[in-house]
Amino acid sequence: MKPWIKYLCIAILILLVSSLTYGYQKFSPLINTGTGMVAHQICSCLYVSKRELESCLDDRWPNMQFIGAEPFQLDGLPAVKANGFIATRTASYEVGFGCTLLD
Amino acid sequence: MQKLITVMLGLLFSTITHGQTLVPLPEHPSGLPWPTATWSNSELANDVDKAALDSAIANLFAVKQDNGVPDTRAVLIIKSGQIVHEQYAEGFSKDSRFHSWSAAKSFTNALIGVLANQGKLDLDQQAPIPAWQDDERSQITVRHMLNMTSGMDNSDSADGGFLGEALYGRGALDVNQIAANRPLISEPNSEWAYSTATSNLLAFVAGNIMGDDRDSRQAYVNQHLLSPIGADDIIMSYDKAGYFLGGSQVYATARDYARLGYLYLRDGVWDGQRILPEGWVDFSRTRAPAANNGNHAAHFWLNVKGKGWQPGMLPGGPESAFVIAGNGGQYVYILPSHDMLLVRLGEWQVFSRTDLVKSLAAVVAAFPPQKETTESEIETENESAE
Repeated sequence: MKPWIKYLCIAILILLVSSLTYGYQKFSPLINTGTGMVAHQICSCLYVSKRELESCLDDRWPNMQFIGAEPFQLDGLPAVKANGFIATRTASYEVGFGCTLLD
Repeated sequence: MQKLITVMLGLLFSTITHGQTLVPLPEHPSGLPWPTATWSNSELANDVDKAALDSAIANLFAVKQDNGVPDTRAVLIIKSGQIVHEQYAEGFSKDSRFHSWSAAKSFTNALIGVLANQGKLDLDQQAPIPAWQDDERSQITVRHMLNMTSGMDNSDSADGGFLGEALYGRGALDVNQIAANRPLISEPNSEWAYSTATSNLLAFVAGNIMGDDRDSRQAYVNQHLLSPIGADDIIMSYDKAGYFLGGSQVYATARDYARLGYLYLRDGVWDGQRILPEGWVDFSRTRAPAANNGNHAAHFWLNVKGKGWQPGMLPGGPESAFVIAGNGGQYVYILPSHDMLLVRLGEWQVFSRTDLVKSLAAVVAAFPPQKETTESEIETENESAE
């Protein structure tokens, strides 16, 4: 391999890693927040408002449609786990107290 | 001449506060059961423009999302203590709980009012927040917080993502930690700034007085506010630290939102029991005294001209209206001039805020005022207050 190709590959690799690191640091808190919001919203919609999952997912804000959510049982309590690719958040429901973000 | 006499009578019976005239709050109709167990129904009166009302309500439900679900999911109209119209989108009913978003802030006002009524909290006392006791933030009072004039750097627009971070991000497990530990950026009572964090902090203040943990706090709210007005089905959401999320997290049926509105329409008294202190509702509907505030009162909105980004509430509607309002168009209009409540719940994914409030104003316009009130005089007062 010619030396300049080697240096070019290294430069591209450094650029790629730097971009990914910068992107992760910039957007990670935002996605974490959005994922937390979806977990709480879908949990409340399912268990407090007693709506269907599909109907609840339809009401996600347009910029949060990519964040998935699924119901499950957590220590005997109804809960929802939301997945925003680089963030996962959980909310659980207790009768009389609504939904609470757990993590 | 008749109008002149009515205006003069209005002047006589109105309260003038901070340059704003408050229309007297109507009394619960004699002989009618209070809507504690259930709301009673009534036909529309003959003086209601039924065609205009039908058209206005049809407009509200006509705006639909791509999946065919209307943005408006519930409309409930209470006139003189009785339901005169109640309608839900398909899939929703009188038993459906709707998310309050910021309408929860008025609910938090009620929690503080309940404590004030019992002598456990005073509007002008130093805000009992531990982090504020030893510096300039000790000047902040409960009144400043309700007026959103605390001067804290914790408004919804602070730092771009501050609010989201506090509610759903790294602050979510204990939402009051981040909010309480912000700096003071202006003299308390000088600048108005819309702050969900402040409402959460008020719920924190209320919670600490009500009980030692989440369960005892909820029991207190049930005993002193929800059960007396028959709104036991209201669900308040808590953070993991056990504090009610008083800025945005109440879930209630349209009928229970109406019960909260009705408590304020009846001056804080329910079926002979005073739940909010005398004068509390007038305070709650009085414009917060900051130069940059146009239409925010004490965790309620007013139907007068806002300043800056402050939204219009009911264009062309009575200026004496005060409003419980939340994101997505959760509205409870309290209309003393009409002895009426208008509740609208749902989304505004397709509706713009402007079009939605115009459509709601058309609903109110179908109803004549209870009597000629002091609207023209109110306008003068508010203009002079600008």
